[in-house]
Amino acid sequence: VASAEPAWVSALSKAEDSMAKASVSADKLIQTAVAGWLVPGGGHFVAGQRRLGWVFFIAISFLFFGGLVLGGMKNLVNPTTNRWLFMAEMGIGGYTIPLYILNHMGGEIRPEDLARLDYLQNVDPQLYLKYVSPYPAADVAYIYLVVAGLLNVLAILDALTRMQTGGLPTYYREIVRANEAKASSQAGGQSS
Amino acid sequence: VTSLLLMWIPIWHAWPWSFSPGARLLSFFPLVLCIAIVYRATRVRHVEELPKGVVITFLNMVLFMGGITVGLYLLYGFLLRTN
Repeated sequence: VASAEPAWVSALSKAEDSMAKASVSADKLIQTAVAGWLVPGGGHFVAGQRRLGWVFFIAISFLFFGGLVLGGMKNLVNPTTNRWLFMAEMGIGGYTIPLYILNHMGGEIRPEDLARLDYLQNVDPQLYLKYVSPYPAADVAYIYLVVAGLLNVLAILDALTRMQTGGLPTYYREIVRANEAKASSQAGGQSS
Repeated sequence: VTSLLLMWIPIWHAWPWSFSPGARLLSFFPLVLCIAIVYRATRVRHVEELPKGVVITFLNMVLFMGGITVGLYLLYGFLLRTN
């Protein structure tokens, strides 16, 4: 009588099937990364994970626009005042680049002026506060924007992984457990 | 308030109302919730697995961050007393 197949065998074979079915052409991977960079969750839409795409879109967009509502874009989408913040925001290029362009298209304050000490010493405080939020709202806005940009990098990498594995996430517990069971089974086989 | 609302263009202008320390503390919760959602979304295969994982991660983060805060506060108080 043949013994029952261990659970890890079927878990691993399912994962291998999923990966074998995945289409991983370079064009498709580039499309996934670009879509995810333009809109949070866009990469998941390209990878066929629409519902997860909506989850990423809502969570990351909420943080990004929540930060902007608190802090205002003149000071917060502005590489001359904080280049590190801007680099983090560029994790969502489809939001940051249009806002950066819009930032230079009008308003009573020029974004570059906010980095000039002589301008800040002479600017009307009311005008300044109309465009730049003070502590503590500014702190919260910075944190929201940085986290949104960096979370989107995570979302892009996840979309690329799912594209390459046919929908499996980066760290899929079933595969990890199956690999552990396989390793312990092989170690048991060697010792006996 | 009405005149402020008429003048205020969200995102273009900064938040025009005062932002109290209490509001700053409350803003921690949506931040942690969004981090928990995105982190867990990278760990699940289907959306159905998400809610339970998000709740667990959210509570873990809030409790551990709260614990670190209380710990640092107590340490600060202790150092103030000893110096």
